[in-house]
Amino acid sequence: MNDDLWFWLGCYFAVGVIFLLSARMIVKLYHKDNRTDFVKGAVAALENDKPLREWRREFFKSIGAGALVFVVWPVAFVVLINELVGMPVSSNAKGDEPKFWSENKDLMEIVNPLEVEASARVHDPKKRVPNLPFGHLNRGWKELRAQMRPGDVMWSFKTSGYQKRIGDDDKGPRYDVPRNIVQGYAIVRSKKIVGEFLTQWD
Amino acid sequence: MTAQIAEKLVYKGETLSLCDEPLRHYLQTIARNLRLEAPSTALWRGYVGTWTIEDGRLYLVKLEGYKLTKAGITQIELRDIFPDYPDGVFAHWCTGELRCPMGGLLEYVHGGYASRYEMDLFLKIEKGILVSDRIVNNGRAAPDAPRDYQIKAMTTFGYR
Repeated sequence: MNDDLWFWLGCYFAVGVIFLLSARMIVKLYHKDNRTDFVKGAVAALENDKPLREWRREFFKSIGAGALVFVVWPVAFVVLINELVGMPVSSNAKGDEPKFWSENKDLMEIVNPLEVEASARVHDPKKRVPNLPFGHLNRGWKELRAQMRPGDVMWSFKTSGYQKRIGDDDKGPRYDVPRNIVQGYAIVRSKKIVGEFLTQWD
Repeated sequence: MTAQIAEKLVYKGETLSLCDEPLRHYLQTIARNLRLEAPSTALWRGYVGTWTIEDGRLYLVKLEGYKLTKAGITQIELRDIFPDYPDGVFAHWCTGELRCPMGGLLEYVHGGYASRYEMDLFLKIEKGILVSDRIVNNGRAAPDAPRDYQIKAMTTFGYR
């Protein structure tokens, strides 16, 4: 091998060492351990209980992984950048997304909010319900209406719920209809449910 | 998991245990700011509601709930959730079947409402209105079996 090749290999590994040290520092600075004290304690207890053989295996695994990263450090560099730039944003966005009972498969038909409202009065002879659209649920309806933007579409929805298959050995309660069926209205924006209002459930 | 304290349902003059929670989604959506607390492992939902069927309609007439405040656990009642209707609320949101176990205990299960009793009374409700009722026979309990819905053990939380 000529001197030039040795020189460039030396440069490659020298930069690798600098990268590894910097990466370690960056991870220490930016990585947040979101585990609770309980989980940390439980993990620590499990670590203490590890047999010697397990410790040895972990040690050689770490050495192997470290050597691999050292040799192919540009790949590790790309992974690290991807984690730092991409992951926090995407994971936050996912966590912030509201959860809805309804899914696209549950949407039944497009409705006109004005018509829905006009037919949503609840009557009770004992007057134990307010004379407002959707009675006691009126606040939820108003919140849904307030979410609507131009271009949004309101759909009625009904979830399918679940029903246990009654077998010979099944001893559970024998409901006649599926459980956990939820009905209501959803706002769809760009083919995505962005708001919902529950009107009926069991 | 611990068996859960049931809701109460007054039907045809009898006070029954209601093993369904018709108020659940109301508290999760409309009244979501009300933070109820579990006083024990047998009442994770933090309240017990008393329901009645009057003139074929389902009403919530009483509620005993628990809310955590700076002063500790305080009790709340129906008027704290429905201020204008302290005497009863028409449950027009309820559509489905409600189950009330009755009779002697066949099998105790220490989780949810899974214990089995001699009979299950099912009430079919449509938008708060009783559509039909039916009784399902689950078998015959031993003569010395405990009667009516019950919880055998729980852990009570010592809030301060």
